[in-house]
Amino acid sequence: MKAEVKHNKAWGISYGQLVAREFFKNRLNVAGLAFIFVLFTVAVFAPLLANDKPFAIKVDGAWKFPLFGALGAVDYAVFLAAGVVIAMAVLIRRNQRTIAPMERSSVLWRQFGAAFIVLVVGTAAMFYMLPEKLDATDYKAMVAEGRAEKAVFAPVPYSFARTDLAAREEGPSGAHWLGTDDVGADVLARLIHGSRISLSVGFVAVGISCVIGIMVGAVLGYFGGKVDFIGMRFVEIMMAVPVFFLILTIISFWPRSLLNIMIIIGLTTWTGDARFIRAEFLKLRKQDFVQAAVSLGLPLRSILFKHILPNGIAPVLVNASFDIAGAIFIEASLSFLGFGVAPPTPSWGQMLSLGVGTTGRFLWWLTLFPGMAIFVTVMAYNLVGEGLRDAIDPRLRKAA
Amino acid sequence: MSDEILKIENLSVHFDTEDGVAKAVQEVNFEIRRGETFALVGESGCGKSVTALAMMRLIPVPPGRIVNGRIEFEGANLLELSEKQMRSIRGNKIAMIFQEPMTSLNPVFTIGDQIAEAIMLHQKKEYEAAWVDAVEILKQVGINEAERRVSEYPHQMSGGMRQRVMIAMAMSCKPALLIADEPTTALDVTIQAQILELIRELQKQNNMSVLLITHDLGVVAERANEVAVMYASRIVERAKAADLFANALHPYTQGLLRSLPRLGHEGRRLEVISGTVPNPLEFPSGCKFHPRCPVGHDDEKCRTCEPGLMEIATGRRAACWYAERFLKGKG
Repeated sequence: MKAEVKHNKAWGISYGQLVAREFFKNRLNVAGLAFIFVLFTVAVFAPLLANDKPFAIKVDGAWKFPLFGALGAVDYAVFLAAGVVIAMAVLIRRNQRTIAPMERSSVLWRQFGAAFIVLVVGTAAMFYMLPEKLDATDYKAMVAEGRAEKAVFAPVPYSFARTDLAAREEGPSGAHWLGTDDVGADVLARLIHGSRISLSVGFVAVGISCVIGIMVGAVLGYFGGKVDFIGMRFVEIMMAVPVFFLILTIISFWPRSLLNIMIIIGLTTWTGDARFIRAEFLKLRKQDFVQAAVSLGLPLRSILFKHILPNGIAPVLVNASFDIAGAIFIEASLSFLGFGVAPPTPSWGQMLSLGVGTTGRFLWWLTLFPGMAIFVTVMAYNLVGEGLRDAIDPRLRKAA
Repeated sequence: MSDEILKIENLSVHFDTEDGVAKAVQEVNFEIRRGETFALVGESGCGKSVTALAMMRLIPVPPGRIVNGRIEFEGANLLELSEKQMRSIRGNKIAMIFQEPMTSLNPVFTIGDQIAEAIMLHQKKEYEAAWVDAVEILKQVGINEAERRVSEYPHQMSGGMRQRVMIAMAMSCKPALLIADEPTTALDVTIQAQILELIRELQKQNNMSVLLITHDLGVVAERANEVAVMYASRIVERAKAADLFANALHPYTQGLLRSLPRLGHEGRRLEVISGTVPNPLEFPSGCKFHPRCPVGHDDEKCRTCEPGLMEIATGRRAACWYAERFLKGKG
């Protein structure tokens, strides 16, 4: 069977590949995706882009690397995860070109297994080997006072948490490109670190809501009848409750942590996914290929999640990219109202709320830059969502 | 009776609809012998597909309901098995091929994946071994370049090819009984013959029984050992295929045979059976065929009294009060 590897030109084009080809035809889609990619890069490498510790510093003729020492285990785990994701993406692409389809899935599982082990072991090792340590040395003062001979700083040489009461509420300048906030922290540094919050809220919250929505929708749609009737009434009750106020209510009872916000957003926004999946399952369960799968004696798990779900997942994927935008927006709104993550954790919405300064002055840079960040990110996700929808069902685009 | 692989007794299937109970199948009896082909003939909506689905326990419940009856397969009543036991029979002992090859394959998986899944499940094989088997089966159903085709997606294949793949899927675990629900209806005529020939060959190789569901009497004449004609939820006539074509005893069967186009009868209009199939929600009283029947449309007995399936002669059964009249010679 190994000989078949030579035939790779003739290997079938999968549905996913067709959709990808259609998606990349539109420049706006590519732009949206590119922006999200840049945002991810920024989020992953945030501590390397904005940090008050220098990459390298020469004191008394000896080089020191304080930045890398000051990074926490979480930062290294994020780097590792990003590395593993990139490696997997490269491997999957290579698999498609070099491995025959029959072996692809077992190879893929092995690769996923290896990636998972690397990730878990690596993260555990980092938390074990890198204890939290505080480096309170003021390297900038050292440079200013001439104690250090040479120093290489990050592009934005400020920490998101470092306050500077001498430089409160200052507009953009050469020192602080995007100005400072009410406690003198650099806005650009906070924006860069805030991207981590926004992205993780988006993904984790939508991940939770997708899983719940798919489970509920699959069961309602496949079984139909009474199950569906009762279930849908429950979903409708959930939909009748204004989500944002529900979240506001719940959040005031829970401790304000990022994880709680993610969970609450996830637990309250799954109704859309459930409805999409239900509709798809209602339609698909009557299809001949599902009947054929049942008549082959396949178990319910395989019918629901292997034969129906991949055929009905498209609307949920599209919805998910809109939902990510929505979740980012909800987090920003919560933070804007003061119900979000507590300072000094940087959040775009919370920065936005500082636009009305402590003295009642309008600080335009605190409104414009975080506002732009929220706007562009939400728009990029919406563009990708729309692009995906058009790529999956080209007929919709003609109608629109 | 050991050569009877499947025996259906008094099967009745009802569907609850908003307008009342639709009696889709009523008191159907038949048995299929090992290695033989049994044809179930009838027009759309007469209950033949529902009978097949009931055999696989694939009737959606609700609205469907198997009211009574036994379906005995290899000594066990399929209607009493648990869902788990039933799953080990579906695809493994009884397999089914459907009418529409264009929509009966899952568009997101390769052909090989779909065939291999059933093999992995029922024969407890590893993925690689199942894939090798899949290639082998595709070769058996006459797909050229099976090694390449096995990794293609359904949309890359034509209708005839897909029906071959469907047959390959059904045959993958060498079932004892194959239910073919109008396997050739959606295909053009040249392909039809090939597919029927393929089923015949596979049947011979594996000593498999086939339940052929069709409305095409030509197919029946060519393929079936025994025939049951269904009309409005009941079997109205049962006979050996040759007997049925030589001498049909039920006026409905006679009508069907008359309405076939024949060589040498060019230039004449095809005969039709007047009237339409009765609505299963409001069947006519008495014999369900009487409003359309040339014999019974104004007969008091036919209007009020429903005939059961009666033995008219040896091996000849019909549900008609006047069937004996039509019997040629001595049975």
